[in-house]
Amino acid sequence: MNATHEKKWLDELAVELRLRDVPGSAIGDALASVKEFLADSGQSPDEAFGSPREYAADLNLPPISSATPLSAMVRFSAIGLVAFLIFTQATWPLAAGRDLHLAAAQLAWFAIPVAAVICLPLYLGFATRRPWALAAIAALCAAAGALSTIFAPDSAADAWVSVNPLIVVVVTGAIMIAAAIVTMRTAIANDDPIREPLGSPAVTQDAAVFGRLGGIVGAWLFPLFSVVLLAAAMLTR
Amino acid sequence: MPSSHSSPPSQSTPPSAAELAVETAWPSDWIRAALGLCTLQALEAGPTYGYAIIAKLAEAGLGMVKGGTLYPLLTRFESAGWLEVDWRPGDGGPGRKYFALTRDGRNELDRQRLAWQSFSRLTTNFLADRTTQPKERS
Repeated sequence: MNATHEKKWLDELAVELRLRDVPGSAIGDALASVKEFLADSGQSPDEAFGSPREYAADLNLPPISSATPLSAMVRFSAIGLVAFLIFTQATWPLAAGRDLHLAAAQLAWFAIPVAAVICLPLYLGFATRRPWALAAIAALCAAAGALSTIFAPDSAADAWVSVNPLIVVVVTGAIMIAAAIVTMRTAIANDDPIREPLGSPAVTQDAAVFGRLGGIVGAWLFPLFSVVLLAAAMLTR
Repeated sequence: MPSSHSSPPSQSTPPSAAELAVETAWPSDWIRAALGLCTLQALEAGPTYGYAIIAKLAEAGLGMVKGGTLYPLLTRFESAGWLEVDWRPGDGGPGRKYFALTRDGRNELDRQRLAWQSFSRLTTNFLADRTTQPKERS
């Protein structure tokens, strides 16, 4: 039996069950059952259980009832990212003491990454199963973001619309902080590591603590980056 | 080979899937209809684990059921309260998940067994009664 292939299959099953919001203890139970059966039968996971996606669907395990679904957590993070993207447009005009000038073409290109981020929960499962798709979407968003800066107007005369950058910074900053608080609270409430039966956790205690800290720090990344960006803009004006 | 009654199956090297494969190939619709009841029956003798259930069904001539078919069924039965589970440490390998019938599970087995016997008797009688065959016109 190909141990690498078996591990990959089990990892994919864990992802599929996570996408269905199955509790960590039930995922650990399902993984251990598969391992037990494969050890007994000598079969490959595909031969005995089909594809991880089909098997996860066939198991039809109940989702966590009390926790926030994974797609909702991603949506909160996505709101923070959109606010950060808009915040970055306003920092330099704010530091320079002028209005934020926006061109129609600039906004059109900027709408691509914003739409990609807002719609992320809709294609989260598709992208998680196909890393190349996630990379392609990220590349498209980066390219569109870069193109939007090319179309940024040089003066108020070229602008389609001009706004006070302080309002943009304050509003997007508040949204980022609110999204970070909600994301951090749901990350802590949803702390549910995959636990195999017989009391053996699939991850070590250190890894679990590290993962919990990572969730908290990750939730505050956008506000932290924003402060650094704003400070850099103020210092270099 | 797992024991067929009363005591939990042995944990010593179970037969491989290839060894258990049988020539019999029943129509999949028949197996689907009978699998739930036969799985409960396989558990009547006492707690046992997934592969032992499959081995027992194969030994009975019902064919080789896939793990991907059996485990979702066992999960549904567990949710229905017909089975209780108990993880036990394995010999050097992964642990074993033992399934056992609850009182509700035994009642369900009795109910389904009677219903199946009645159904199969009716079917057998119907098939044996040549008068139900359409008469040829002369």
